[in-house]
Amino acid sequence: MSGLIILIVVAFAVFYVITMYNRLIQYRIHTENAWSQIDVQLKRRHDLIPNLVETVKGVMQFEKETLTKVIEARSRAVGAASIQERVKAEGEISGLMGRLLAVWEKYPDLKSNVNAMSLQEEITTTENKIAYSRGYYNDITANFRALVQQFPSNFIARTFNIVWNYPFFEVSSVERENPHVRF
Amino acid sequence: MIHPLPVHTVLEEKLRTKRSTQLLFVLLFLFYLLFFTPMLVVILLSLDFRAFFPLMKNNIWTFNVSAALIALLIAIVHFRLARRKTLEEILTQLGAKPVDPKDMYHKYFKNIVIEAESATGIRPIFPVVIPIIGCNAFSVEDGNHKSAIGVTEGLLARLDRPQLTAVVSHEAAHIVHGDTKLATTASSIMGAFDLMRILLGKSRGLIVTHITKKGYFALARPFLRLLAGVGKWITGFIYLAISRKREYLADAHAVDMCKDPLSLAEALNKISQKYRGSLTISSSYSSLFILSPLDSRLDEEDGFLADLFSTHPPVARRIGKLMRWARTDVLMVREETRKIRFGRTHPSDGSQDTSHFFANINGKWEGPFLPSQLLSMELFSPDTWIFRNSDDKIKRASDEPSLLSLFKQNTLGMDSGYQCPRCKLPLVETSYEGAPASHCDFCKGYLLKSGVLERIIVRRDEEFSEDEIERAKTWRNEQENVRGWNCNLPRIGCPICGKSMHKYIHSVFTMVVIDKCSKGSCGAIWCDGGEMEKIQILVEEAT
Repeated sequence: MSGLIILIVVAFAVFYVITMYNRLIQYRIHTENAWSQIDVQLKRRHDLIPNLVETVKGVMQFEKETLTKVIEARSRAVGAASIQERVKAEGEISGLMGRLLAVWEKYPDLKSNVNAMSLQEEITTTENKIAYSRGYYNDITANFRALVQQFPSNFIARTFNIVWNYPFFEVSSVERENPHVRF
Repeated sequence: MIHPLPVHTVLEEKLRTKRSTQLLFVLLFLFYLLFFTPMLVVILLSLDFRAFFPLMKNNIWTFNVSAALIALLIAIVHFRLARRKTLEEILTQLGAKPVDPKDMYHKYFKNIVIEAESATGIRPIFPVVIPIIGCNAFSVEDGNHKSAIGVTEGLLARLDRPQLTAVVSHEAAHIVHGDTKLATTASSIMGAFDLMRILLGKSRGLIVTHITKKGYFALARPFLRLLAGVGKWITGFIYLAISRKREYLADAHAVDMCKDPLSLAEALNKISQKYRGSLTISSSYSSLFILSPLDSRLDEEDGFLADLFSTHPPVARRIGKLMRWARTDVLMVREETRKIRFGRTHPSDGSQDTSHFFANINGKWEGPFLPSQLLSMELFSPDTWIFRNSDDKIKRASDEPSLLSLFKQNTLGMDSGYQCPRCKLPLVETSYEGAPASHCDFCKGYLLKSGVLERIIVRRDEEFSEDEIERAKTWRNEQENVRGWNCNLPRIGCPICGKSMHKYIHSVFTMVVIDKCSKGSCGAIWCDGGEMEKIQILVEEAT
């Protein structure tokens, strides 16, 4: 009888270890996948920026500085040497694009231009996809982190050398500034 | 800029609703198993299956567990059969079609659905459109994990981008939570009870009594049929309770995703005011939609009976919750803006600045502005959401007395003494086709006293462009399915006598829905912006 109980306990423990290990691996794969989904959208935005600047530079006289900064931030993002640099540059682009979209309505020449409005929709949806992908990535990576650090799954993570070393996306200082609405 | 909501507010709602729906779901299953066991006992007894009697007598728990396992097996088989329906079959029954890539509105909708894929991690979600004028949205998933989000053409035409995003987020939340699977599970259980009722039907019962030595089964049959019927009803009630809670959960998740509770509140408000497609959408799919297409007054009520018989919670309650979350959002906006404009070195002194307002322009909170600055903004209207810098109460601009007085000052023309039932602003006296009318400068609606509309229709002073005529005719051709529609949606008050106005279809010619004071009252008619012109064009073209 006691032998049966020990067997059941051991079987349960083995089952738990297998389940938790698989879960940790699954979270790691989901985190990497979520990161690559953001990458896809960021690359799409990089492709849209030159077209955007070309379309609006003749019309948005008050935004020349913002447009220059967008081009510079894009170059920094494409040529970034580390993830931290890239995250910083992409955050700056998000803030600057947000400003441009906010003041778009003030330029009637753009509103009446079908190509410009189509481009605005492309940029709006790309920005939204980036924001949602980042939010989804943050949720997934938070769950992964919790699993790696919480008891008792932390033992299994340490045993099999599964570590959490993914950054969270945070709002950059550029994004924190509200675009000023001019009259 | 997406403003982060305090996690505990929406998360609390999500956790609370998730706990209660899990409880209800467990209750549903337990109830099913508890009902099935006595039914099995009665069947075995009446069919005189003596082999089971020793088991029942000596080891009742083993018998109960066996009965429960048999019940579970029946439910699983039924569930698998019910889930075999493909997404294409369901969408065909709903009349939904794929989006047209050349249509601008359809393109926007498709982009928003792709954004929902990014937010939920579920891929692919197929965007579809039901080509009806009603306003509604739905989501559906089949047994092969293929999912779709659909809207009606009426919804696409009436909602702006932030509102459409909020609605799509709500539907995506249903897919994430597996609500369609839940609906199929509940209907499987109800189907299992139904099957028992059919099997226990008269003809089959008679056949069985011939087989048994004693006629016990004939005696037990009515009792068993009653049990099966009661079982099906109670399962249905439990499912409706779950269904209501799931709608709140989907609202909370949608706000979590799109961070824009106001847009969802606005969208729900707009959809609740419009025809929702009751004549074209089958009632068996009504629980899939964001608001029930069935236009039932019960949906707008609270309480035990409403919970028993209605799939959707009251719209007013849902909007109230969303407004509460928006208030929290608003507090954060104010705090952030104060820090940005005045720097962190300036203490948050809780200043009583009552002269500035924040306004929700195109889904974003902007400000603070002076009232004169607000009125000079192109996108600012009486319907815009605002809140004063010194408090956190969100309201429409027309509900703020200081802004209302400025709107009134900006109104050109003589005050007719009546108030617009939509915008709450003074109606201006005007003349249309030589007949006296009262007009709203903001929403372009017309108030006509009894008998005036008939005069306007027969007169032909006003000329319309080819485009306007073509648009009116196209719109009329889309109304064929609405014939005979009678509506009991929330009503507006008559600006003249104060009584409730009813919605009527003007005529079979025009199919335009107008608001009219009931018989015995003043007989005044309210036409929303564009309705009176549509009536005129269509009557003129037809005669």
